[in-house]
Amino acid sequence: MKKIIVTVSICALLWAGFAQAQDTKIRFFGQPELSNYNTTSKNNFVGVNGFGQYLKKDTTYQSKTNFNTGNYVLFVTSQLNDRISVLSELSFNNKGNTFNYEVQRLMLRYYISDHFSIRAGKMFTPVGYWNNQYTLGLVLQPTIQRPMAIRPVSEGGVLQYRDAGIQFEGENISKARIFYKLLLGNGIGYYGSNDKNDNHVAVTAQAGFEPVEGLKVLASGMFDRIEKGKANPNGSIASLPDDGKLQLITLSAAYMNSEKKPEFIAEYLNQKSKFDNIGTRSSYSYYVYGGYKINDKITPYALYNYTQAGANATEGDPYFSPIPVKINLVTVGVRYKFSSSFIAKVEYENNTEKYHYQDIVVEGIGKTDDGFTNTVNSNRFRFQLAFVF
Amino acid sequence: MKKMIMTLSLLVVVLTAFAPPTPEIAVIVNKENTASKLTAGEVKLYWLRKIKKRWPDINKNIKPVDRKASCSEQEAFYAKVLGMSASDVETYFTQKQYESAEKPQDKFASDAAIIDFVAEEPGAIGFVNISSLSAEAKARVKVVLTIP
Repeated sequence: MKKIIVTVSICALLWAGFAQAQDTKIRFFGQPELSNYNTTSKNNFVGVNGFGQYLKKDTTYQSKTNFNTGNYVLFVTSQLNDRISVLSELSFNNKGNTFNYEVQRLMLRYYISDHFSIRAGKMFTPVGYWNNQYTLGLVLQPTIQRPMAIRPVSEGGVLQYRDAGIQFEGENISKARIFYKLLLGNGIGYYGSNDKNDNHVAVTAQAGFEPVEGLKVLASGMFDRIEKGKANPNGSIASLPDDGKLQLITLSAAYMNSEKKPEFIAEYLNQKSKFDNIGTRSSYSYYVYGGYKINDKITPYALYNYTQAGANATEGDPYFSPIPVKINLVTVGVRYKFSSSFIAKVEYENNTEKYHYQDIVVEGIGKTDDGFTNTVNSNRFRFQLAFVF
Repeated sequence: MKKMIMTLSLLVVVLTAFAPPTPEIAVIVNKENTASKLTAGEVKLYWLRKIKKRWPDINKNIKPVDRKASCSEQEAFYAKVLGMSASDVETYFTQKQYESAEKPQDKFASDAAIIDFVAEEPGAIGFVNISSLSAEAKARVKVVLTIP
C-alpha cells in the first residue's frame, strides 16, 4: 500500500513537472521575537540514591532578555495549469550556533471539482483547525506561539503536524458547506525522523461544516501504530517499551471572520496509546482562544491551555511523556496590525507544569520513598514582529 | 479665535468640494461567461472564490482581478461589494494561498490592463471605472453588475 502511495505521488509530481509553469508567487514570512522569562522549579528531580530515595532540589532561573530570529519561511506556490497547483515551504532558523533548514511542505494539488481534489507530497496533517490554518505563517496566526495542546514535536509537543502521503479532500458540499479530508501517509514519526521504513500506512481523517461564514465545526481522527524500540516523538524515551496502536481524536469549533469583531477557537484532543502488553494510556488536552477586534488595528486576546498526559499520579503515557504531567498555560496578549503584511504581538504567559513521580517500591524490600510532585512555574514576556512580503 | 474657526471651516468646505467623487464601477467578466447579471452578493462569492472555484457553466477557473495599487475604484469595490478592508482582502488571499496553494488575485496597474486580461481569460472577473468602458471595450467584455 505504501509503495503504491509513493509511486502515485512521484508520478503526480513528475507529471506536474512537465506541465508549463504559469504563475509563480513567492512569499517570505519572518517572525523575529524578543523574550524574557523566569522559571522556578519546586522538587526538581535529580536522581535516586542508593537507599532507594528520591534526590530533589528547588531551582530558580531568570533569563536574560534575548532576541530570537525565529523561523524564516520561504513560501512558493505556482499554478501549473487550470487545475494543478504546487506549493513548497522551506523554513530556516538559527538556534545557538547552528543554522538549520527544513522542507516543511512540498506538495501538488490536483483540483477535480469543489467536492473532490487530491494532494500528494508532504503537507499539513488534517488534525484539528489550527494546524491547517496557521503553523509557520505567523503573520496569519492570532498568537505568537501555537497553543500547547497542539504544539509539534519540535516545540515539545506531541502532534505530528505534517506528513508525507496522499490526501483526498472536498469542500462546499451542500448548503451546510461540508468539508472533508482523508490522508494516507507515513504517520507519526519518531524522535529525529518522521520516516518509517515499513509498509504501515497511517490514516488521518477530518470532516466538518461551516453553517455560517467563518464558523467551522469539525472532528478529526488519526490512527497509527506505535513501534517497540523506537524513540518517542519528543525524545524523552529512547526506546518505546511495547508495540501498540495510537489514536488521536480532536473536536474543534472556530469562529474567525475578518468582517466580525469577535474571534474564537476551541479544540479538544484525546490521545490513546493502546499498547499490546502494558495496556492503554490516555492523554487529553484542550485550549480556548478568544479575541476581540477593537478596531481594524488592535485586537486583545487570551488563550488558555490544559493538558493532562497519563493518569493523575500513577503512570504516564510512554508515547507522550513517561511521567504523568499536568500543564496549565494562560496567555494574554495584544495584536497590532500595521497592515496585512506586518503585525506586532505582545504577550504575557504563565505556565504551571506538574510532574507526578510514583512511590519507589523495591522488590523484596517494599516502599522506600513516597512519590512527589515536581511543580515548574514560568512567566514569560514576549514581543514578536511578524511579516510577509 | 473666531477667524481661525472661519478659516478652518472654509478649508473643510473647499477640500470637500474638490474631493474626488466615489466612482461608478462596473464588474466585468469574459464574453464566454454565461452569467448575464450578478448581484453584489454573488460577485463577492465568485470574486473571493468562496463557494465555487470554477464558473458553473463554462467550467473555467474563477480568476479574480484586482488593481495593483490602492485607487478609488478598488476602494469602492472593496467597500460596496466585498464589505472588507484592503488589509482583510490581502490577508484572505494570503491565507488561501498558504492553506491550499490557491493562487491569489491577479493585479493590474490600470483599467485598460484589466479589460485586456478579462477579454483574454474566460474565467476572469474584475472591476473597472465605468468611464473606462468604451464601445470597443464593451464589445470585448461583459458587464454583469454596475455599482453607482
